[in-house]
Amino acid sequence: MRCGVVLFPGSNCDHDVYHVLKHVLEQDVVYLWHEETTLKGCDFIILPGGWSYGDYLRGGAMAALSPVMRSVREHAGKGGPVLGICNGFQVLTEARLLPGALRRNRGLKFECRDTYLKVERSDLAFTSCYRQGQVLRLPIAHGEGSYEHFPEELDRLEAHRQVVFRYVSPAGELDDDWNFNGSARAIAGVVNEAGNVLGLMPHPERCAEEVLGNLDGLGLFQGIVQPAARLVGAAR
Amino acid sequence: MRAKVTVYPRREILDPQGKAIRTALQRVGFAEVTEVRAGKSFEIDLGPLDPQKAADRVGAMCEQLLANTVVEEYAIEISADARTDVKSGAEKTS
Repeated sequence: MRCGVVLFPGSNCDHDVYHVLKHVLEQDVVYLWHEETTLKGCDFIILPGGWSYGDYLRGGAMAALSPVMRSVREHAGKGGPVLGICNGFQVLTEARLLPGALRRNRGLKFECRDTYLKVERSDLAFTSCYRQGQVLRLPIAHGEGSYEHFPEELDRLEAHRQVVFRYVSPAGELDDDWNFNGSARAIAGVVNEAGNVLGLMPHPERCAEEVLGNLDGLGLFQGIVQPAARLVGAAR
Repeated sequence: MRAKVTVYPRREILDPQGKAIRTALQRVGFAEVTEVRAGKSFEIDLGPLDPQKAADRVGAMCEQLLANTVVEEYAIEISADARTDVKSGAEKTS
């Protein structure tokens, strides 16, 4: 499988994603510069974290209009997997490939810490290495990660099972104290209705290798690039 | 033609920045302040255009880029005024 890591001016988590795919999971990986008009034959597209275009206007707003996003939209429309992490999630919402928006954290603070996420569904390719209800420990590092949408749209998301990850306590309970950015309904990650475009604020690429002391993020990449790993994950 | 666009967080949405500014204003003695919303404004020069056409075009700009209507609302003022630069501290010293 060929993976493409999109590079916007100001992306800064691109190499971490590249490293996980290339060296940990031994996949074919290329960078896709934001001015590219093709995806160079990539099957799996990742929009990494960072401060694309300096976060001018709003996080992800400028990147959403960049040339490469036209091809990403096409790829997504054909059912190709697209993963947006942190700023990449913001880009996907600004491009309207995912519902909702990410706003300034409730406490105005940049939050850089581990969070606990409940896997709300494991029937997606992305989450096929996880168990339904499993609690993952993934780090966040953002100032604008508070998920927002109109109340009726939030209901719609729930009805369509589009909420994939929620911030919970280490014991897996919904607890406002563990929802550091103040996201509506503790939403940490959402998927589109078709199930092939996923965005989340936490950073799975920062906990996807033994040496980092935490492997909880690896499954998110494995689910797409190593379908065989799904069985291993489910048996864990 | 010139357009002035102001963008604010929707009222229903928590505006932590506005809240922090309100608290600060109250702390320095402006007890009468009940609410602050922190937004952005844009001045857009358009060249000669019919005012209605200008409003339509700027409305499209807001929908496409200047505002994220999931969390923000916007207002547009169109004027035929010549450019009137705001005097800032930095400009005065230059």
